Amino acid sequence: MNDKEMLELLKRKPQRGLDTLIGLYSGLLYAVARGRMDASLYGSAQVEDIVADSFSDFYLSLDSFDPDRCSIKSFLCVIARRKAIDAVRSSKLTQLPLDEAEDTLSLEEETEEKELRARLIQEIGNLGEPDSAILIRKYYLGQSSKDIAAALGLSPSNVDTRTHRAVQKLKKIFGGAS
Amino acid sequence: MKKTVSQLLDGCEPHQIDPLISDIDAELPEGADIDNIRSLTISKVRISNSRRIRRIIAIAACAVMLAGVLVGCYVAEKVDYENAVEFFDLNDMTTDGLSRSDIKRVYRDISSESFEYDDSYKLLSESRDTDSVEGVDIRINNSVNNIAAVPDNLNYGYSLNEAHGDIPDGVSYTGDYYEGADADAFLTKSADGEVKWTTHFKTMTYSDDYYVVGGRVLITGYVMYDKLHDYMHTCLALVDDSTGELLWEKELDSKYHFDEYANAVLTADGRAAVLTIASDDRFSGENHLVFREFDLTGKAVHEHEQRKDDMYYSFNLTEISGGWLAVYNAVTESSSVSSTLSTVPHILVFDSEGVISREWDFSDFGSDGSADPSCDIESITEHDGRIFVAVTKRNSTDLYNGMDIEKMLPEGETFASFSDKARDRARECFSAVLYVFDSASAKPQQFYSVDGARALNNSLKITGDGSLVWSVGRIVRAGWSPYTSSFSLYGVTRRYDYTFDSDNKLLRQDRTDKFGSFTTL
Repeated sequence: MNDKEMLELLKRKPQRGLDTLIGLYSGLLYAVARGRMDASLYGSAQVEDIVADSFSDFYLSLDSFDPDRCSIKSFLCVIARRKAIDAVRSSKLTQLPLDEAEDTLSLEEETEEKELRARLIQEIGNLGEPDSAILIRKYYLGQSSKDIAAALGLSPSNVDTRTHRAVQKLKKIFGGAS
Repeated sequence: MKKTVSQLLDGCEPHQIDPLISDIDAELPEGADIDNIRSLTISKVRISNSRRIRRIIAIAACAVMLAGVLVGCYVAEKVDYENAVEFFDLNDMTTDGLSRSDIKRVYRDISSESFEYDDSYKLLSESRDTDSVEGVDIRINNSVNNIAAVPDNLNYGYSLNEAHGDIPDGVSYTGDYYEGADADAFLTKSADGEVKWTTHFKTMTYSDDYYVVGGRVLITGYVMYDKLHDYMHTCLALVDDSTGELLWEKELDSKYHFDEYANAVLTADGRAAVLTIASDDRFSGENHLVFREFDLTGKAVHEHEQRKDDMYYSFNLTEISGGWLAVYNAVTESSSVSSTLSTVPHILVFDSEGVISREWDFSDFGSDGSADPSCDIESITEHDGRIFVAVTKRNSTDLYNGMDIEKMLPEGETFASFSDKARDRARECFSAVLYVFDSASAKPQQFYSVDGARALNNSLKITGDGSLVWSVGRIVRAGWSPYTSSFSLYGVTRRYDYTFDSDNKLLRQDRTDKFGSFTTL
């Protein structure tokens, strides 16, 4: 089922559509949210809540979603990521270091960061497989080397080696910025 | 300030990460609960929708008030009088012997709850006599829950295609609602795991419910046009059950943008009746209820449209002598402070041409004094001059208000899935209720109630000897999902069958070995 078909299903039969959507992407969204929610501080129920919030937010904003601009999958991932970050920021459990808590950017810095982000994404893509997948799983999904190894059919040590090399490569490209 | 790779990725826009995650998937880890995610999501969506409906109601109320200011005194008096007459009609109160001003005075007196006018009490007392109906609370005989007997693999999710009619064991119908970009819907019949036939439809884009009666299968579905939902019309198709031959297929070509399927029924002689809800804007509040009947060849023999603006859902249509009977749930605003809406069952009686001849609701029928009980209709049938309506009644506790559920727990208890306490609290939330009405007068006769249970879909059956069998699902295992502002209940029910004789007398209670799932949506 492609995204347009999924959207039609969501409009026509919301419960079925949501059920299908949840079946397809719960695991991914859980990983995305967990990547930002420390397991020692946040239980599974709190991550599940973020995942459910992401699905319901997406459904409630269906009319504004443009399937030609991005995929449902990435849209959901971004919602989940941001909700997880918000939850962590607003939680009393969080113990942010002072410099991170006061992490505000000037307009100039913000522009720089956007450019840096766009370039980083491009360079991660340029790493090629499986390195780009390893980095995304490691730094976006927050997966352990063991989980990544299992998903990609590699050994954990191979994942660690490739991660290290890929990060070194990025550091070289960005002159130490990452 | 240096940022890590992870921090930089936090700010990604969806289109930026699209190419990087397109091939990445992840399984839910052990310990994560997809049922919880599903329940939470549905509840959150439901609450948001309820709030949207409340906003619509508020806007509509403001519009009515504004219109009232603009209308002159003469018109106001006329409207006042008409409202009063409608109020009298709705409450079975007679206007005999009352002047025009008396009628208005009684109406204002009652609706404002002042009760300063002598005739008000008298008229109310007379009208309420009809509601003095006996109710029977049925107790579950077997108190053993036998939780271990519940199948472990029972699916808590939602069925895709809903089946109606008597389908033999081993036979199944699978209606796929999508098959690629250009293909239409299809239905497959299987018996004992072997595919008997597959029928592709010509117009229908998605198949939905199906009804198997008298050697034929009626399939309902939709055709959607272009650009995601600008137009959506109901489709019907009749298929020969033995060969799979498509006998006819119809798009209900409405003049409205949306003509949404509400319910259908297939008779033993091959006639099909369908109710749809037509509108140009699903959220405008302007709805039209359309009744259509087709003969065996697919020729439309009756079609009638009537304006009905209720926020309704969950229709159930059946044929009765001299016409058709429909029950639906109408959404009404709850008087509680929460955002949840109540639902009240309404009954419509159609004549043979599909014109509504009578209608009434039974919001206060069998009231146990609880505030705003919500009733969801599961099944209706008519037999021997009586109308039977099986509903699931939710008690006054607002299931979507976390505070209300929280109050139900003993102090210091935490929420846990599938605990005895969760089951007991879940039982307090539901009753399966069977209402009995006189067909001719529409007067209520009796009701039966089973606490801690839900009425089951299509649960009313007339046996060969004329007895009525009512099936309910007793909650035997339950859990609930807490989150920021709402809760969902979910779990397993065991089916109990109740058999009544022709005098509405309960003959027996049978505990079956059949289980079903439930969830509060």
